Amino acid sequence: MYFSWNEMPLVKPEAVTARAPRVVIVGAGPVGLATALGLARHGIASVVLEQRDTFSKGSRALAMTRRSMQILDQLGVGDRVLELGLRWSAGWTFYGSRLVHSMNLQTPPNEKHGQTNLQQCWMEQLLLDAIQSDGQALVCYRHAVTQIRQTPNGASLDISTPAGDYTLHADYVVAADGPRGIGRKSLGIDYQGTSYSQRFVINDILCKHELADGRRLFFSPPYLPGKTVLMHKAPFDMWRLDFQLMDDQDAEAEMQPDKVHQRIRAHFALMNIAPDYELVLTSVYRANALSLPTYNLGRVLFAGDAAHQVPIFGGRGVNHGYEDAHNLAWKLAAVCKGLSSPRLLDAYTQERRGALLDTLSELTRTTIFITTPSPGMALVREAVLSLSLEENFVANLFDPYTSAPFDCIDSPLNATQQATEDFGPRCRPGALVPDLALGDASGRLYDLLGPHFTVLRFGDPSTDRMPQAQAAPLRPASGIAVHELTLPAAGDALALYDARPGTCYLIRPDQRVAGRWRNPSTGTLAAALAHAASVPAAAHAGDSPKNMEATA
Amino acid sequence: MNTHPPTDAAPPRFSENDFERLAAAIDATAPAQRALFLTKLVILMAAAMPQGALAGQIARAHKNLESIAGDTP
Repeated sequence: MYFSWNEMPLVKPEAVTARAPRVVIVGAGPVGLATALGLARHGIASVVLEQRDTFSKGSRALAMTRRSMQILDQLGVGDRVLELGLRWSAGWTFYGSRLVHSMNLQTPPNEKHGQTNLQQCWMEQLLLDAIQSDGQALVCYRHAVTQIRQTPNGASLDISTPAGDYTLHADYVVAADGPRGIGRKSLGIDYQGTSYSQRFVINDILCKHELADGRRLFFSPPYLPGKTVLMHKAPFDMWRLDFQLMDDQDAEAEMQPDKVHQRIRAHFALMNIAPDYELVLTSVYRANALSLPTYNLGRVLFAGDAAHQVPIFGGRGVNHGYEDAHNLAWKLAAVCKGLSSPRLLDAYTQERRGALLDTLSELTRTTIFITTPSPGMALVREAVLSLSLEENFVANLFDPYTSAPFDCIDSPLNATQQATEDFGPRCRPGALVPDLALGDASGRLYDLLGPHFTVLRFGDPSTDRMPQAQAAPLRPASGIAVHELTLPAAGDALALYDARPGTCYLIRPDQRVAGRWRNPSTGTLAAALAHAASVPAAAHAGDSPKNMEATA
Repeated sequence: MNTHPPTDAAPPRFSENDFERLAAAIDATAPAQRALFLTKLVILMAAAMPQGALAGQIARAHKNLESIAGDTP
């Protein structure tokens, strides 16, 4: 077996209440655990409550994007994920038994990561290991939250455990408890959007057959005419197969072993492979494109599938969840510390919901193409696919993985770009900063971006200045952590950052651009920092240029 | 018989040759495949048209379908 599911020890209720946590996270899936780890990096302890008695079963949220891998690096688990995970870049699309399209998601030369697959149970294990190594967060299995109530200064949770029921109070609650979570039900908030009727039976199988790593998409295979099959390679000799059901098929019946094996054997026959495999898991799935209207409601925040549901095509679900966790952690930590106004959490909703709606807009087209919910869709897709055997112009319909990350260009935290600041559109406020290789011994830029703001200055390359990690930090009166970093305006930075000597970027703790300038004053930076962190006016009144100067 | 007053706009061009060509192509296609064939034809033609032109032609065809609905024997 590729993983061992051991029953987790029970943490007694009194041990939890003794912690008096400021933040309680409901759900110990990848998003809940990533949120706890992210908060810990910012010095905020939390308690994570999970109703299961062990890790998730099955491959589930298997595919991680470059951005998720960057976040996992920031959380300190990226290297472990790479050790166990499977990197892939290739994809093949078939119509019937014929290849109609192939893609190669090459990692840009300045970036470290590409697509990486690792089963969800392993992700949860690695995140839990890191949490326990850090020691600030407490993860409690078999603690089922039955109710969440908003209170004047926080929230209270009713929890049921085999050792008795108890109530826990917190300043903030993060509901990361999935699509059937208690958070939505308790607060009377519900998803908006579309649920597609087509269902997929998902199978995890173990098979040692050598097959090139990558994603395979089969349209209208002979054994499933008009329908779709997705196939992902996973570590530990696992394959993940998603079979779309025919319209008149009953999902429960199709999950029975004889039907499952019949489909898998037919698929192996299509691929001309001997059916030597072990069935590990069978489940059913329906594509949803849903979002809550807000991701922060009073003292309760929503993240991952508890906030939204994304069709699996293009592998976006958990990747949006990791981005939620990373976006939320620094904001919630700053609010908990009293450094930032609680309205900073409104920006969490604005940014993450904006990104989610953008993804849904794109994936809706992909979902419709894959699931063909109407006769017209089915007819046009049939025409497109059969044309694609000889015509290449329809390739743009087949690649849901090739979209660029979402730029939060409308974020209220972005500094206003002055018209006189002649920057190109790339790396604009709200965008993710590109990674950079810093030379033989200096690592990468992302290694130097941590749980703090960063003032990244580009200097004159002729002076041979090397990057200064953790230089004497600026000390804004607000207490917001900020580091300074200087790189030469040379090499990849010229194009990726539109860098010249004197160019300056203010980078958020989640690696997004808060602002960028040519030769900004200290006052300009101080104001942008206070704005990006939603620092109350009184708190940054002491950010005079003299006070903001770095000390040696 | 309905007649329409002549206009100054240039009439859309659909030649007799294209008429015969299309009819022959449809006749040569098995009935069960005709919808698929015509869909492919539209896709190929749309790919050769300016972006957004297909929407206009769809609207024209729909409008004609509705306007003649009562006249079709």
